Amino acid sequence: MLVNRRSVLKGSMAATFSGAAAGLMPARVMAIPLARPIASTGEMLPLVGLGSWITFNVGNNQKLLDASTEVMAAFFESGGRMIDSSPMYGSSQATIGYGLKKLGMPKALFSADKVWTSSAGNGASQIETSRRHWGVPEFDLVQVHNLVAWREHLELLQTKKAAGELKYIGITTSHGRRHADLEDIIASQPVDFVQLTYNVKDRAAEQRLLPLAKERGVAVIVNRPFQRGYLVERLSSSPLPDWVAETGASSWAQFLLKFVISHPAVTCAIPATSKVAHVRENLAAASGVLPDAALRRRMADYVGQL
Amino acid sequence: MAEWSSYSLSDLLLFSLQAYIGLFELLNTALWPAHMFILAVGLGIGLLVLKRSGAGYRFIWGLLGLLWIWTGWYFFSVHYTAINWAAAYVAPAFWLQGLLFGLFAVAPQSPDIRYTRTAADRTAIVLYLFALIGYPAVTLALGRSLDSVEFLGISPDPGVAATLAILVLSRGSFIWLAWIVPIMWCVLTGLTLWMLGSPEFFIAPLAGAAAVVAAVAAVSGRRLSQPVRTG
Repeated sequence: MLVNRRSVLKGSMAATFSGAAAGLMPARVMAIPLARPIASTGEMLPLVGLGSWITFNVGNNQKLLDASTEVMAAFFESGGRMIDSSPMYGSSQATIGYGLKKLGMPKALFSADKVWTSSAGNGASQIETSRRHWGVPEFDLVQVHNLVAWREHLELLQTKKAAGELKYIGITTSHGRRHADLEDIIASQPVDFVQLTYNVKDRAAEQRLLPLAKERGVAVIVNRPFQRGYLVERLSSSPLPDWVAETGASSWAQFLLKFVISHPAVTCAIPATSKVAHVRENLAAASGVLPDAALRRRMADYVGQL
Repeated sequence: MAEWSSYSLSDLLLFSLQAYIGLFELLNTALWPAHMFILAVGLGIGLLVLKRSGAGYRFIWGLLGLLWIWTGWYFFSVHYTAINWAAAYVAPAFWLQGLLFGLFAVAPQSPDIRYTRTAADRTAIVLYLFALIGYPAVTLALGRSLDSVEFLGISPDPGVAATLAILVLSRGSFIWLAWIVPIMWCVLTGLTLWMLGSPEFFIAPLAGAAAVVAAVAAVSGRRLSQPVRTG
């Protein structure tokens, strides 16, 4: 189910995406991006979130911490909810915590982090350290990062979820790694989310993982929608085709994002950026018309020919 | 982490060039005006070497030891690790290098540092001056702002270049041990900057290569100048 601007405004979910609910920048009118439900609960999630890999790893540099906060402010202003991070991403968690505090802990936030340690015994303490970095009372979602010690960590996450300490649990991979293992996990484990790499050039997930996730009612987070910026950089020298105008895409970044989020199994794509203009552009991709199956094929073919 | 082998080097870079350069802004601001003191000490060491007396080399090894231990602690453990957790694993290599120089300073057969006006030794002096003055100038010319350029004693790269220059001028049985970490760092920092898209990526590897060539030439020259014994 895809929820568009009109249906959100009409429906009871409107408050979830409203500026008032976010408590942010009251002078600005909040955008309402297209959203899809998390299959396990029906909670709506905007189709574009915010990743933090590389871009929010700024250490103690005050200037960059403030710049990251501006990106987060623009993200929430544009109707964004999910911010994703990991203990693997250097100081990104602390940067998010800094920004959230500055922004008054926006209510719209959907906090997604990961557990990433090969030692099963360290999982709980790592999650707690991450939570302190963010400054949130609890995470909405914790995922097992890159399938590291996944059996042990999933057991821990299930226990936490049962105890009400987590709303959702999940598992991640990236760069197309270990898709067979991921498939087994989706098929056999009670996960709410799966995170994987999917973009117009990396389409292996279309074969089995995305259909399986949809069938099993598992929400899908897509990382690397721009192949770490490489796709946008590479395509920027080519003209954006006229025929994507019908979707409202006005840049290559929006073209690429619309391709990803228009897959019916995808719940949220999480491009990372350090620029306010880019985060607005990304969120704007979750508006207007999403490509249908025929247009998606055309988009993939077009990029394939370039 | 059994799957590390499936990561490319670029996957392990978890920070941007902007964040890396921001690190030097932070350090330069925090340590200014120590730069002037370091520059004065650096020039003093250069003059000591140029005296060609061989005196004071224990003092130089001791200072180099302190430089490496300081860099391992302040740059890697305190600051760089904030954006690159792998820096915590590089710091011990710098400490070990510092300890090695400490041993050179106190060992009975301490390696000699001697300038002999050969082409190799002149190259070493040029490299030393480059580490002291040229490094910040070149990084400035390549687009950095003045508050983010790299200085000897504050950033590892100029310190490594200065160390390599001193090593070219050194003589001793175990001196080869002291080349390992600096050369490895030249490769690592070059790769890091290259993957970050920095135009400065070539500087440290070029400095390392120049030092190796100069050292090989120096050793060859010394062997050729030794008297040949016949029967």
